[in-house]
Amino acid sequence: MSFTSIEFVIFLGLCLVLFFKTRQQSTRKWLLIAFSYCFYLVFGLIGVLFITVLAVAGFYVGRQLGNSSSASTSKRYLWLGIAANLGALGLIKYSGFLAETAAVAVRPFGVHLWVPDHPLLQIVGLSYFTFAGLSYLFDIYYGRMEPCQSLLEYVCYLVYFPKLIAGPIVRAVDLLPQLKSAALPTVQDLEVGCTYFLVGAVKKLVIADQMSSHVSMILAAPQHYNAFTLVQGLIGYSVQIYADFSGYSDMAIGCARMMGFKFPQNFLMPYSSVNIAEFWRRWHITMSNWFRDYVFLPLEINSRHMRNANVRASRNVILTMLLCGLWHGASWNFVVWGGLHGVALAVYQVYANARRKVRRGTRSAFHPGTLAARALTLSVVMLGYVFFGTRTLNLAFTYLWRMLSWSREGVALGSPYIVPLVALVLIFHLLINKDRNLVEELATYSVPVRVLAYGVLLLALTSLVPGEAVPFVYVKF
Amino acid sequence: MQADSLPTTNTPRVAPKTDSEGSRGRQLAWVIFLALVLSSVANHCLAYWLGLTRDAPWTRSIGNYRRIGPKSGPQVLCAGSSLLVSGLAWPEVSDSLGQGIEDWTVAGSSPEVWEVFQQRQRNSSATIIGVSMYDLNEARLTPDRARYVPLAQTISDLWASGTGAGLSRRILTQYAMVYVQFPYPLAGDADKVQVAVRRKATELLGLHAKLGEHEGVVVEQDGVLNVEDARTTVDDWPSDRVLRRLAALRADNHDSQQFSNGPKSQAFRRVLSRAQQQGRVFVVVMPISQPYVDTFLNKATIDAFEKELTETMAAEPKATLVRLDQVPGISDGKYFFDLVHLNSAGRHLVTPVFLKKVAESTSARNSRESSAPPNSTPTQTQSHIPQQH
Repeated sequence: MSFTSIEFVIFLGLCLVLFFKTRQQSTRKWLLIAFSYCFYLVFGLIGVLFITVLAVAGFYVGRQLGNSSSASTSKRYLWLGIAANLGALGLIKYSGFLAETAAVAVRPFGVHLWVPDHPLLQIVGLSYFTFAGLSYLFDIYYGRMEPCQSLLEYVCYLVYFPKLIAGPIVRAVDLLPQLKSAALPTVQDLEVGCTYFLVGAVKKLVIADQMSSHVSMILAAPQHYNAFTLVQGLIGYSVQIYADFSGYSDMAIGCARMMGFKFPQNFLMPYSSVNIAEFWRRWHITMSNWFRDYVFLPLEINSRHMRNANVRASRNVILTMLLCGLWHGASWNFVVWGGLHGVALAVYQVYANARRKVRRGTRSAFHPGTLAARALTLSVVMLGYVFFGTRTLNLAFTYLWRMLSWSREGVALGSPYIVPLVALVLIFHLLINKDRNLVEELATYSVPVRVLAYGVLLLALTSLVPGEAVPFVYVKF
Repeated sequence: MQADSLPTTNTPRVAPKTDSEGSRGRQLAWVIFLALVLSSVANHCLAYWLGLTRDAPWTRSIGNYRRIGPKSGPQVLCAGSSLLVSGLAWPEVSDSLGQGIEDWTVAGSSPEVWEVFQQRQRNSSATIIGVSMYDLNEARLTPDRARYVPLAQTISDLWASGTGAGLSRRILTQYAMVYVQFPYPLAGDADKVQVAVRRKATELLGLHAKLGEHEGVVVEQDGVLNVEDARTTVDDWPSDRVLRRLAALRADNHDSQQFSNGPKSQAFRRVLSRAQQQGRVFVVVMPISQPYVDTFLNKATIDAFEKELTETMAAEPKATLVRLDQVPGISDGKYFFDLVHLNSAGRHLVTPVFLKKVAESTSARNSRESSAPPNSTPTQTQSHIPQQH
């Protein structure tokens, strides 16, 4: 059930009506669990059973972890939890990839390994809820929270439908206290939630979906197009993936906010970033924070014996980003993408440490230095998208080679959608202060301004929405 | 990676004050209501300006009626999409059959919609049903299907054919969209809106409005079943235009080809059966262009189409099958003005083939009737036996 489908809107409306009518806190949790299971059942019974097993296991492991008296016992339970979550993730998502990689590696020696054509199982949202479960265990282990005492609450946290399929990766330390709270959502929550949902729908349906068919065509077969078309396709993909994923996140945040639950922001104008480190503080924030807190920082702590801070940090950030790439998909393309970002982050960190210059005050968004920094950051990000958006490494290198060598051979494909939509998004990133949250601000404006703003959004949504929506890109991760 | 992080959102919540919440709630209700009204009015105004208005959801649409030939006597029903309409020279067909021909046109229509029009026609003695791998692909939905086909019929067909959940959801969503289109007539038609906006913009700027690339429909005279001369060919298209059109088609059919287990196959069988009861039936398999074939079809999908066609025709053996898609060289781009519609040259190539088949069928029928016992009832009369061109 996609967020942009009519049946989801009906589903959400029914959920909200019942949620508001229910006064009992425990009944509300049961209601949310029931609706979440109904939502997830559309994707298959196997997923429902799987997440239930994981939730129950995670709850009991967390309790033992929190109640254990010795550090070694805690560590053992932590590793048990990690093994359960990552083992499931590895077996279901990566077994085919590992088998294929092993088969390619041993083929020169005349050994032929059997590789399955299709994955053994496909569980939607697996990457997201295993990471949510892991964050719960890690936070207990590091003393950031006490283990949850109610299985009902923990299950409600893990299966809660707005974040179940494609994030945001909301941590238990953020959501469990809100689930415990007896307060009903306020009218402001309802309005802000509706606004997030509407804005997300516009990003997804009006911007991302319009470009999808042309961009997909170019990424699927770069050998057919000239360099100009490839550049256009890459810029279009950059905007498409931003609008698609940030649109999804906005809709998820909006759904939760309508019920009074505040999710963390997942995207904060990432294409306004002036360096790659800032980009990762603004792009898929919940995921990058997860990797920072549970992979990078432990690596840093465990390698503090290394004297050279630059070498240590560079090694750790590259390792972290390689894992981050692998999280996105079982493919070498994603590993290379992650590696590229890791190297970029490492280079930036060394540069920033060497410079040690503190700029007093912030430069204007139109300062030549700022524009140049934004352009450079965006170029690095888009270079990574070549690997992220193509299916194989071969296609990615073909794309890069034809683009960078400015190949004039091939079709010149002009799209009536890509240029205006890209211009719209980039102008928005240029003109609007990147630290403002216009969605939250809008609910505080006067009635005429709000009526006009919501009216324009609804008009865009109802005039420029295609008959059928394209599936969300990040759901496949 | 930087160690600093953005603040979490676990802020404590304060119990709301009832009075201010109440007035804020009323204010929000007004804001939502006014925004809905404003956007609906703007949508209607935009639809009017662009010429894209719609009927109310409770009115059953009737399509665009056209006819040719004599109005008296039994008529021939043309049951097909624009592929059939653009694919034959209808004045010649009407002259050859000696009967008037009626057609109700809907853009991108398919058998479920033809069935509705077939039920409307009362005085039919023959039916020409035009099918193709484009028309019968279950994954490609008729855009305004929900305005023609009753929901009960759709649900029954989806159930009976065992249609998958994904396709069923797509089809049923169209019915909900009909009601969304009452306050918002432009909803779900982004392509049409953008083409219309571009045309308006070129008109306003005083530029010559070139036909956009979404002209997948036949240019015809109002009310007359005849097609203007379309001499342009797909071979003249630049590569990027072909690719864009293929991308649009891929978006329409979700890159999937399915010829069974769906409401189209169910409806096609019913149309054929009902047509057989009314009189003569010609099932014409229309050709499609080579770029379309190369992009969307492979041996498996072609075999699936042939299997479905064979099984359907086997149920009605008296129907005459005319394979215009097997005319030598017909898939060449020079015979198409877009990826699926024949141009003048294509029409002039296939129409004699069709008429020849009609003549053969008529001769065979006449000889069967003349060799039948004297007291048997003739099954059908024809007012005119065509001479071969």
